[in-house]
Amino acid sequence: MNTTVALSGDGFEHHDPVDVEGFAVATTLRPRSAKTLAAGLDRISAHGLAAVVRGAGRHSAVGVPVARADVLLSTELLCGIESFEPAEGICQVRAGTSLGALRAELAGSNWELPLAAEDAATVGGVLASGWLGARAHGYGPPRDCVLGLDVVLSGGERTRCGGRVVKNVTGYDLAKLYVGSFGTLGVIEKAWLRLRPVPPQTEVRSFIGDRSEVFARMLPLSRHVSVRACGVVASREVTRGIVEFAGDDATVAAGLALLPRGSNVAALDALDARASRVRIRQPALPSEHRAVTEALVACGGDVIAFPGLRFVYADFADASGFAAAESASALGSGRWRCEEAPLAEKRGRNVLGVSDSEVKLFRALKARFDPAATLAPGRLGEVLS
Amino acid sequence: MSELKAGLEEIVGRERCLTRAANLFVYECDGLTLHRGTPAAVVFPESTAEVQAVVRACRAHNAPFVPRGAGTGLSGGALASEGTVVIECSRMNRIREVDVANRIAIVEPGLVNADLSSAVAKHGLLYAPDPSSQLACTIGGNIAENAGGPHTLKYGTTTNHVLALEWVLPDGDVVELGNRAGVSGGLDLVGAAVGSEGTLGIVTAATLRLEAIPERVETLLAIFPDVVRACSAVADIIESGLVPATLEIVDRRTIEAVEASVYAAGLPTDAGAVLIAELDGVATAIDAEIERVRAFAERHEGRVEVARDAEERQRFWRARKGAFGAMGRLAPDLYVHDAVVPRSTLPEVLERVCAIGDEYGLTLSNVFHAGDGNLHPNISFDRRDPDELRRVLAAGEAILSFCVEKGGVITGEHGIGSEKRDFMGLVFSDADLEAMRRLRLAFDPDERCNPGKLLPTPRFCAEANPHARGYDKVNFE
Repeated sequence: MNTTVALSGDGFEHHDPVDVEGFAVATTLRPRSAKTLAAGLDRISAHGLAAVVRGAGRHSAVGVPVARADVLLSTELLCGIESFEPAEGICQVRAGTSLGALRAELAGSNWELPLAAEDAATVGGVLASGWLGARAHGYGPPRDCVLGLDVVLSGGERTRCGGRVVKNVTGYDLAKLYVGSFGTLGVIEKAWLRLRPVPPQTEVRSFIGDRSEVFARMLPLSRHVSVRACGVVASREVTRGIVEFAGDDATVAAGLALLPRGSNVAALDALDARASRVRIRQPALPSEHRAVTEALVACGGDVIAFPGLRFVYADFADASGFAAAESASALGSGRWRCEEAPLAEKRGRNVLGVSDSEVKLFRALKARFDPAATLAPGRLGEVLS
Repeated sequence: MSELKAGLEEIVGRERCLTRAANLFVYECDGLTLHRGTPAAVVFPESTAEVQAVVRACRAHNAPFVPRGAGTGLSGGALASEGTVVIECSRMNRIREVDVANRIAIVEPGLVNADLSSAVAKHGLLYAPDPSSQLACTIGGNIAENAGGPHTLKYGTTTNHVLALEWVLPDGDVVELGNRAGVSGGLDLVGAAVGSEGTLGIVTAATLRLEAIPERVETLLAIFPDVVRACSAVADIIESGLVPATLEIVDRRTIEAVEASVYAAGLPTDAGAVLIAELDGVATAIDAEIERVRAFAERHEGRVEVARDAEERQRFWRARKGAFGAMGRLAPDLYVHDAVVPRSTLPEVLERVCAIGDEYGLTLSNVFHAGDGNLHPNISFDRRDPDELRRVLAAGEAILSFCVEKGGVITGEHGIGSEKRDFMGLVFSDADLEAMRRLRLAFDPDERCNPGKLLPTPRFCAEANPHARGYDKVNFE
């Protein structure tokens, strides 16, 4: 098909081919409005083509490689803060808005954005990927801050779910389905977000020690009400615990009292994502973290364990990380998921770590929400045999 | 049907399968007594295998089925219609496992909510979602409705506490949604299932996250000249960023009813409204928070008392938790609404809600989760009076419409069920409802699992008629 002819109109751009997960894509849909997004998706779907949604591309490596890509759907121009309501502690934001822009808007108020990704990431991208950063410990996962979403479905249908109030059981909670769906069921265009009060005080401390000692100290620490982020960074050479305390003076002081020998180190970013060739995420209950970490480190992994978040990240230099992950899974609670890996090494693997029965449900949902397989077909593993 | 009934008896035994009219009468409704329907049978499974077998039997006979817990729901979610099999899960009430080190519990759906907190208290733990009916309602029902309660403000609702589900799909397959760690790849099927009102399948076990019992808890009672000023104090507290564990308001009419009942808490009956605020956390931090709440209350002519001991704390709560029981003294029936509005609109909305009650000549009182903006306008009435019933329903619609107009929604914790199904058009468009329908059909393409709930029928959907309300289903005596 000549996509240049088929996909003409507002928002479509044709260019030299760029690589999108191994496919040469020469068309980008870059809408400025929900209306253009809807019309563009309708056109893509009508021509039996497939689109891959991308924000800033910071967390786009998760999931199964797509089975097809004809169009890149960029949310770059779907940006802007529609409203910020300090009296309610909520805001409404367009999906292509960067977290940095939103944080700048909130600066000076007594509210902060409870999404733990870096400034360059987009709101839509963080929600679509369900990215869990270190501060998800205190904030909760991204799903917890979403009050409502405007979503455009693959056929161009403009829909809304949830609302702008903090408690809501009006109908199915579709927002939970869209968050973490990698843009496979619909394209998030706008989000109502619940903000968090800015804590009056924050302090970061770290401590180094024997691995068993660090984990033994970290578990009770992770449960203290003052802790907003905490993790154990472990490699063959060193094991370090890092804790961020946040709250009023008395609460932070109570937390610091639990870590008298911690050093004053503003090293919280050590708990954030690092460039990695192969990264896996292993679910693990707090009591399992030490054993899982030991297993992964023994296989050459650099580990960040988050007891409060109930998972462990491990970075590897090559595909040996997958074998390491398989052995660690037996020590954790659930199967590992691949967060980052070269495309060729992801193909043919169960990189989402889901069961056959879950894939069956994914297929059923995909068939209902995206019957023409327009949005990132294959990302959910629904085409794997 | 007789073949199905025989099959059900074979699965659960005759003693656990009700089919006689005299026995089925008890299951004609749930907490919403206005809507009634007679099921074909009620079965009481005691295991996941039995639930699965019952669902498969229903499927084989093309019979609809509806899961039911304690039947305390207030939206008709457990209402059964002719030919429907009720799968009553209250006998599946075991705590399968408590993992203290990891603060999780695996429980069966029939476990009473309060019993879980009681069971784990000795480990210094509690289960945070605490609906007012927690002494009777079950975990399965809580999951179906995404139940909340007074402590939702700080601790969240049921969906924030469910890590994994053992789930029987409408086709009879048993699946595990999520995992013990609550961190799974792919789609958030647990999140989609919680709050699905028994329409996507049946929970047969749930892995729940437990919280630590706070180091210190203080309960405050603030007495205001009127409910509007109490709401204004709440709005100020929220805007300041302070997050109490709970902020509950009880209005004068409710106070009067409570003080005249066995739940009497010694509240001043000339108070316009009382605000119950609870603060918890690090012991050394609470005193400063108490003073902040006091300042906000006094700004709006509130007078604050701090509970001196556990007994006084219970007395303060009695006013709130005994409110619905106390309403029974006012009239034989009570219609409890459940709208949610932005907190900053509470003063205006409460004024309008009270005015609506007056305009329709009704006895309307308010008990609500002010911190979430979750209202419970309660209308006391006698359903045997057709004119009063008509006014009650009309007033309810007016209340919901106004709340939606102010940016709110029609239910914060009771669910849609059969009661508010035809009001969904107030909040959502046809396209929005069609998207919800896609979720439902993905799980239940035959629409056999709790049919007729949550989503309006296509006819009402097309009309988007806020005046359509299914009055034909009201059973007038």
